Amino acid sequence: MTDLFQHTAASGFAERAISPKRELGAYEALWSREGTWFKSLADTFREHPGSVPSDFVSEADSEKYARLALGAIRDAGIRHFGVRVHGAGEYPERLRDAAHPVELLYFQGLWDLVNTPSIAIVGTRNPTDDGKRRAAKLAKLCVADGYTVVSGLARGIDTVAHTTAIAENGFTIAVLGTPITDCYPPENRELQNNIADRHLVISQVPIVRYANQHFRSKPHFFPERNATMSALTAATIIVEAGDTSGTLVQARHALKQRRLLFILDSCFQSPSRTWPAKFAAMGAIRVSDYDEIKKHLVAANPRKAAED
Amino acid sequence: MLPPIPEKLLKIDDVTVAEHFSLDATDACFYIWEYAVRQAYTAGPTNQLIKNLKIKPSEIAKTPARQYYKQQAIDHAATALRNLLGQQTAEGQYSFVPVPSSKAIGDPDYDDRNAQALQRAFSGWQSDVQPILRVKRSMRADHEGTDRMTHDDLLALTELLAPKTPPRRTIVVLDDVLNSGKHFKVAKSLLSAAYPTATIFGLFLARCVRENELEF
Repeated sequence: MTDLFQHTAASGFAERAISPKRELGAYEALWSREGTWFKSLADTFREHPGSVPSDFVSEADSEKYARLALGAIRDAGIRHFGVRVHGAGEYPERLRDAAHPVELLYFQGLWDLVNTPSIAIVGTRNPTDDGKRRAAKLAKLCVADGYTVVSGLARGIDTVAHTTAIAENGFTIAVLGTPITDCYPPENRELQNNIADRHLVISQVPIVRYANQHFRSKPHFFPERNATMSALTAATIIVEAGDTSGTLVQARHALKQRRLLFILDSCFQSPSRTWPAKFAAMGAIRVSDYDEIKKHLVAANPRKAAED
Repeated sequence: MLPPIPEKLLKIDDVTVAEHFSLDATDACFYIWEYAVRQAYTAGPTNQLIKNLKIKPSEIAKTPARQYYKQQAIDHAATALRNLLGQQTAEGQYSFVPVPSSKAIGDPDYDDRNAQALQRAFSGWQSDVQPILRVKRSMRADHEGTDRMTHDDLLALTELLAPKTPPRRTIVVLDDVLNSGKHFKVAKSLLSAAYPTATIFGLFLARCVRENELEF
């Protein structure tokens, strides 16, 4: 896959311009090749700086997969969506901080929300009642402070973070572990639609490959979106998580990407959990209230504070 | 904050063309940035850039400090055009025609920002910038109100002047924002009638998506 597809000599600016349809078709086609994963794709693009998906896929294949993906989008009842391609338009440069940065992503809703100061609030899918209350309190304070609340639309803490931000008349971004054409868990369908209509939904998950993927391996896409979520935001707050929680994937990425990582004090209280101490030793910040979070955010980005 | 200048231009295709309902499959249109206008929320850097570009000369006359923001926006647009088109294109078989101000010359709000952006973009290069379109009389700009003119109304109000030198093989029509595509279509009608063998391209700083207006 490292061979560049042979284009006819692209001399004029018109030939060099990229087509979102062609790129999304090529992205889907690349994903449909045996053995493709986020890492292999990222490696390919790293070896060929400045390349786009269509550099590796024939026009016919791009067209074939674009039709499949656009058909699925239409069948899902989606009327408005867009794509962002690395190197063009509004692609956010900070996504390159991810270990396997995405070359293309789909979105629905208010793209401008990626230009607002944002904080990821994430945690376990099976929270305690206290965990849910803490997530809601944090989301509320973040909204009051003008931050957009970013989460992964999963059950539990994620759902509380999104629904609280909406209830507080704030803005929220859902970074999906499914394609925009799917929803997981199914009970969050209405929430996802609401976020797609009035807020912002982002997904890097390829539509065609996901549809053909065995249901057991579909969850493998979930942790990959945490790297994108972390790269997109100024900070990640972990509300509650077990030692084997997928949330810890985001914690690792946040530290690697030099983003602020906050762990609530309550996470340290359970003697059976080892991860909080481990991540604190790696640079995570232990916090017991929102004011502490705020202090660190302001220190990291004085400009945002000046705007307030 | 100004929008970062990307490495590549984008092309209007099946994914985006429906939002620009005056365009059809025969139109080749390119753009740098994109923004959405929604009642709920608009605050991104691209939106800001366009707002600053559109600051009216009469507003600057009242508040001269605003000239700084308008000039900064024109300069940024020019840098983006210079980077994305490059010297080879600017000096190649292309002529560049700015979409004219919606006001006639002499009107306090006459604004040749598109022409300024092109001239600045190609300064020092052997480019062919031809400000040969103009309106016969001032009209309300589309973004100022809801009373939008039809293609034919706009065509009747727009005139094509004789260029100093014949245009090159491909004529690139530059406008700051692509909305429905009507202004481009009018320019294309006039240019292709006068120069039937020329290829006409549209080039836009930003395409604007107005989702609410599509819900009919």
